[in-house]
Amino acid sequence: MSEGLKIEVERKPSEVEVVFEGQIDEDADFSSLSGLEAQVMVFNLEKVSLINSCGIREWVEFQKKLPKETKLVYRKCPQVIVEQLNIVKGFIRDNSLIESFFAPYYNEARDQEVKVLLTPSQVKEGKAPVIKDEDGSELEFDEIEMQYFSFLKNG
Amino acid sequence: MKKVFISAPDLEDDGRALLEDNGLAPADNIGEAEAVLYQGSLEELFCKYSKNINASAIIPLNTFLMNNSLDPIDLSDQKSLGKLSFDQENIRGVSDKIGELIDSFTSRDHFADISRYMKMNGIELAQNALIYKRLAGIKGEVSLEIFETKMFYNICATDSFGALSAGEVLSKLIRASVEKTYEEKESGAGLGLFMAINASDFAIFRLKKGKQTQVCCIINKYKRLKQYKSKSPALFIFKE
Repeated sequence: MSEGLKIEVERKPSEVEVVFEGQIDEDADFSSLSGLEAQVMVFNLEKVSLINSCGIREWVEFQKKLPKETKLVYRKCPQVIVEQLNIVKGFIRDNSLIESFFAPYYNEARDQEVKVLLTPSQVKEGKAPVIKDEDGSELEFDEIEMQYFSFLKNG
Repeated sequence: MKKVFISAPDLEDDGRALLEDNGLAPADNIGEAEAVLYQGSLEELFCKYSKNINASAIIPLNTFLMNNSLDPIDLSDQKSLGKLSFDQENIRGVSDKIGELIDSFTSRDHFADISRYMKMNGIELAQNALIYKRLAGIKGEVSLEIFETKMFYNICATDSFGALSAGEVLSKLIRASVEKTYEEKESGAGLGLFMAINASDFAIFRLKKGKQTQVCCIINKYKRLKQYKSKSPALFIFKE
């Protein structure tokens, strides 16, 4: 059987970074994070591969238990997390910060899908920023802008 | 003649003529309609009309215009890619089995994430049935079979208890659309079902009360993610 959700905690001078890897489902165990205290807690979600509806419940309930005074920051949110941000109310805590997220682009010349790390400030008026490959060819945003960036309106 | 309600602002007064040309009767309100044609997202439709929907077919207008039919797509040429049976597995065991099966056949001809959406659908459908089975303390098998045609993948979950009614299907989907979160009660099954349907081009429920529930989620083999994300799902509920 595959391993469950892996959680690693790294204490840095300005923040505590929690790195999640794997699948968030009903077996996800967040107990190693209980009692963890930090002014700023950064959730690095880059390696989250899948989250199902039971996982959404576990995730939201886990965040409710964190101290209210802790500032939560979401780093490198993959597409699977952005989709939940756009659908599920309360998926991230109020007054938290989305630091960066991946967006899907398509390189037509190479017939290749590319995930590009963006920051919210790069998305102006709901439009995907222009991204070019090493040859200077412009990549095409491979999603529906209005849908994909809708989570930024709430920020 | 089937009564059909159209929720499509672009169509304005042409909707009545469209239905009559296709041998269908316009419904004056959504509550009396056997089928609904909609524009926009399923979520918007459910939020707008909430509990008034009783239709057994809810179809994007574009899909209807393409097929000129209120019936689901023809899957008579589909072939099985594999069948899984579940009994006491936990969700991790279910996920692993479904993941292995899907990874064995998806190819680079489709957008890369199609396998993730298929896994999600398979997990949600199987999980719903298994959670119900566990909570109700009943025996019976839950199976998941994946089929393909030239154009589609079809993920079908079948249980042998038949606990779901058409009214429950719609009320769970509408609740998830309106509230946009999970249910507090353990049996849940609204948000996951909504996620699975939204990830599909067609969702077909075949309900035999007390005997069997089958839910099939059909996904077009899109080449590009953007095409996939532009779709709206069609929903069909058949009762016996």
